[in-house]
Amino acid sequence: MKALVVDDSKVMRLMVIRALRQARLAKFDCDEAGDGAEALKKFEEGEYQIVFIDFNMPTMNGLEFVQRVRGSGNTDVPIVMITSEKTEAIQQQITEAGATAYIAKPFTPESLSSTLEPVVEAIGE
Amino acid sequence: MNSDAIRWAYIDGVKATFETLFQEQLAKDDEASTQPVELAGIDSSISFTGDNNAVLHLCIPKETSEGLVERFIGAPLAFDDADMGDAVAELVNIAAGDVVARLADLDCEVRMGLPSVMKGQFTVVQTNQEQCLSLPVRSSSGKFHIQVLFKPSETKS
Repeated sequence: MKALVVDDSKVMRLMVIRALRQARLAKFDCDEAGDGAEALKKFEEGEYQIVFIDFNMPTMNGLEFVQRVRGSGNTDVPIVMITSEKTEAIQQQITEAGATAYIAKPFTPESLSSTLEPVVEAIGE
Repeated sequence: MNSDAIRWAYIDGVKATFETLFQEQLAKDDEASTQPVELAGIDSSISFTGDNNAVLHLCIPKETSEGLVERFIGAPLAFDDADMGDAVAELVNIAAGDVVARLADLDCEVRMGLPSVMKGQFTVVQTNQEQCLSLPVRSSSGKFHIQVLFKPSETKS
């Protein structure tokens, strides 16, 4: 499954990729991007089946990325927001922007798995 | 609303994050000097703006940072490694998310900024006054300091 992992922290990108592998939900082939703008460019050029993106980033944050992708008419590719922000207001913004799912940091392979299972199953259908 | 509750929400957010990440409770370092402390290591900070304006710092000695980061990312990382700052920044970022949620529960709306880190030699001032909250703590990876600097006269009370 071709995935785009977006975070301004290289360490977090590696942790997300490792957790995805440990979750064993699918065989993820991951590309990386360091912010929303780079992600948008890669997204437009590549054929990704799922995107994992951090909320809080410089240049273009995760919320703007979701708004831009959904605004362009792409409602098919699941976008999973990963964030340390836990307030209801932020969760509402994420949902309203059109993100498919939300994962709070810190996450474990188990918490990642339980959130992603229905998302990954839906891609396979 | 209790101003003290807001001030301590920053410290409690860090403590709760460490408990979640490392399954251990941070304890106050009662042996810490009350005098300014010279520290060689890394200072990771993040700002908060809104109903309360503050900057949260984690001032972590070199040895402690290596231990914490190894437990955080699951692999050893030398202090001088280019990714060390990235990892410690992520720690303060996750803690900040907990702080924002705690403050929201106190009807205090804040937004967190982006984390930043500095490596080098620091002087940590051990003082608890209106504009500064400082707590030396012990973890199984070593000692470090949690410090919160508040913008004057803007603590919602």
